[in-house]
Amino acid sequence: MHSLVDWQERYDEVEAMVQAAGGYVQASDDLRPRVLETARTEAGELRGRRWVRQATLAAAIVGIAVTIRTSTGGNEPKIGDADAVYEQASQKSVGAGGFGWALVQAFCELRERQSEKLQSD
Amino acid sequence: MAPPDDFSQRVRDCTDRLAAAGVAALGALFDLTSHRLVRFSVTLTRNQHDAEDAVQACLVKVASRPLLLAAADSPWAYLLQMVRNESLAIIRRKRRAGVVTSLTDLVTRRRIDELEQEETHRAVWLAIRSLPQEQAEVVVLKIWEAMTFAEIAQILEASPNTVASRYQYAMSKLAAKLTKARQEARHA
Repeated sequence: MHSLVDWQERYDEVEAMVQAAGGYVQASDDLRPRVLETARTEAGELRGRRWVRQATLAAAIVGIAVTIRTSTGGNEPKIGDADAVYEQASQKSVGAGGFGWALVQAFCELRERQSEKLQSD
Repeated sequence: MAPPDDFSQRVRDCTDRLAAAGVAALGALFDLTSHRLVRFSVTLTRNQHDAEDAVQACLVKVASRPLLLAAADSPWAYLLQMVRNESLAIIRRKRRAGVVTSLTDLVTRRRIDELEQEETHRAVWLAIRSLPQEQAEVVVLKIWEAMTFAEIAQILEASPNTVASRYQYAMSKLAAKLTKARQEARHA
């Protein structure tokens, strides 16, 4: 029991010595400016990289939108097409053997025009 | 020294400010923690320059991703863990983990009123540096950071029993070394 008490006292003494030596080693004076400077530089670079990423994303979205608009713009159904074809068929029906055949002819002509337009694009 | 809970709370306040204000608030966190972090890292890397590199890498990482630290249960324990991981990475890179028998690389403080104790401080640091890294880090966290074995175990990712055992071994060695150093000093 006595030796246990001795050991405890010895440990307490060693702990006190270690505790007292805790402030002996310091960070060097240039560490603070070094850390802050590096952190600021990295933060700036990070902001720059984020800006470039966002700008690239925005440009890509605009590009894709323009491409979609351009590629689908020529084929968009025109509101007046059905009426125009119907009108054309009515005019042709006089000499074409009936309205049905005139409608077929009008559709064929419309397809030809669309085909020509697609080829020219 | 402030009680550990108070210190942990101050670290949390700093990390919250860092998360809100960004890199502009890093100075306060540095002033509060750098000495302790360098001291901890020096016992792992056994070199002041490497220790400061590890602390710098950690604090810069924290500044660029402050939510990492702010979201942690205990930001101070998390910061210590980050510094430990960074220090171990530096050791692995430089293969410099052997026992160091001098203090020439360290930046030390010499206060006029502590000149008489300087020899003791040097003996303590030399004794700590002679310990295996696993034991030295437990001593630092237990005595200087006033952590419980359970808290240390979380940082070191070991069981509390293992940590307590390492501490006992370390204290036995330190007691032997420091008693010897004290006797030598008396004879000299």
